Amino acid sequence: MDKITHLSLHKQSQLLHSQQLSATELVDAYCKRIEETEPLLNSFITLTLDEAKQRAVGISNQISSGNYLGPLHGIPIALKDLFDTAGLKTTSGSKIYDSRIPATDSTVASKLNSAGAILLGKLNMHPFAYGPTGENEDYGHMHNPWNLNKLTGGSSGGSGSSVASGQCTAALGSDTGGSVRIPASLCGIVGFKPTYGKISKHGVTPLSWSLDHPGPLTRTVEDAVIMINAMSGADHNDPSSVHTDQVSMDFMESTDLTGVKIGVPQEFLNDIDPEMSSLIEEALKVLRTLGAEIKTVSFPMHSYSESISNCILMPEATSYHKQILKTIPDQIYEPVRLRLHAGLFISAEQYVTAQRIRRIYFQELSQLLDDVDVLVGPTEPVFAPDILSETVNINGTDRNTSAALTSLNRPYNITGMPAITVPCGFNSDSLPGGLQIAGKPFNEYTIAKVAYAYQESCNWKNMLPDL
Amino acid sequence: MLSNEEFQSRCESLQIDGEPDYLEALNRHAQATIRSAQALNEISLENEIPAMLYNNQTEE
Repeated sequence: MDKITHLSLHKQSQLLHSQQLSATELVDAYCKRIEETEPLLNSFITLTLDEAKQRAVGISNQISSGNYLGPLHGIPIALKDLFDTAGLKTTSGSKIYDSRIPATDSTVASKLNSAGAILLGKLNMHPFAYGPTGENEDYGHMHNPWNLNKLTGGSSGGSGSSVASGQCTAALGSDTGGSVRIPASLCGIVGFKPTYGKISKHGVTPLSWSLDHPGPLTRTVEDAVIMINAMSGADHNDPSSVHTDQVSMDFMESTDLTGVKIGVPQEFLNDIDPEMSSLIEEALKVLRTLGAEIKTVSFPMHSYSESISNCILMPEATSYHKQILKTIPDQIYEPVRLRLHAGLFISAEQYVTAQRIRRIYFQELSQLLDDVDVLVGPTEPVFAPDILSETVNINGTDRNTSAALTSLNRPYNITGMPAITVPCGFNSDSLPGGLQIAGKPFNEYTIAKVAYAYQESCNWKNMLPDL
Repeated sequence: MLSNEEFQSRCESLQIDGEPDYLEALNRHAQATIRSAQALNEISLENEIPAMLYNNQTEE
């Protein structure tokens, strides 16, 4: 058997269900793996390994006595430290909240617990989720398992490094401008941001209410869908949440993409690293070989993605954190404090105008999806930059690191459309790249079908960092 | 864009305090933010459907 900490969730659940593997064995393996790698990666803010071992004993007994709950029963997971967990501190990545202990679970924590998942701990993150790099002076920077000097990406940086290095089977992140997909792409794993409203945000520290999406980071596409199915559904505590059907897993039955139409927005291919460009070209060839019809499309409004996102995200984030911004600004990580203060320079008129333009933007992107089933492109224009790098060089031009990392992710936060990133190869420095696939609202199934077919046609999911 | 005087005045009215280095960095951030917001003035809103503004998506 392969190292059990690096098996997919889907495979682990089969072994647990058939009792070829016990939850106790699995949790013990992860405890050992965390002990070996955590000093290098700094993925966690809080570990709950003793509690996890205790829970694993109970779950092992449940399964052996025939009470199997489903695919998450006995699966070790970890949560980004902005999902409230009853009785367990939840910091949002800031020492300001180091002693904050929620009384109740977030809806997603509660659902994962009810499904039988075993919590290994709370994951490190960019403070307040307000940054795409995975840097954190309060709890220490996160480190990319493929190269410890490189960024994990963020804001769900610990979620990316923990899954990629085999510290847990699956992790939960949140995505406001790419914070699930960016670390997944930079760390070489799958990150799936479902449609806005598919997963409840109750008990999740907001960054920007109208752009925030919880989503899983996993080793494989099918694992991400299993996680989404366990967490989705209407929640009376989150008025923006909606009831939706479970995503069928029958996309795993075939990798034939005959009849699937794929659009490649030409604007998403501008200003990207040449090696990333090559990976995307190769990925498109694979999709074509699988039977998909591929055509170039155009999305001119992409040039306003950053402006629309900034004018919505920044005032919403400043509004949420205004009290600490007034009373204890010096305790806020400076790059985050600068963004929070800069949010005060957006006027009410500009905020509302951005929300109005957002609708037009949505209509334009929707029109593209009238002619194709999914949109495909790179998740990132670059591979993982160095930790604390302020700029990245793309084709001879220096770009702000944060702006570059979020540039291709924002369209699907602005529109709320579902989007996944899947690993699509490596550059000459052995750093992974990601292929982004997006689709119509609540059509996670088609995205999963295309992503799974691609995944199964390549060997990227089996490539592991040497840690 | 804000002049230095306008920036300082805004900081006072918003009760933003800080070391000179911090305020200098904030000035750069604020100017970039304002530029980003002003870019949206290029977009025509003639074709918007106001009733749909806050109904961002519908389930299929």
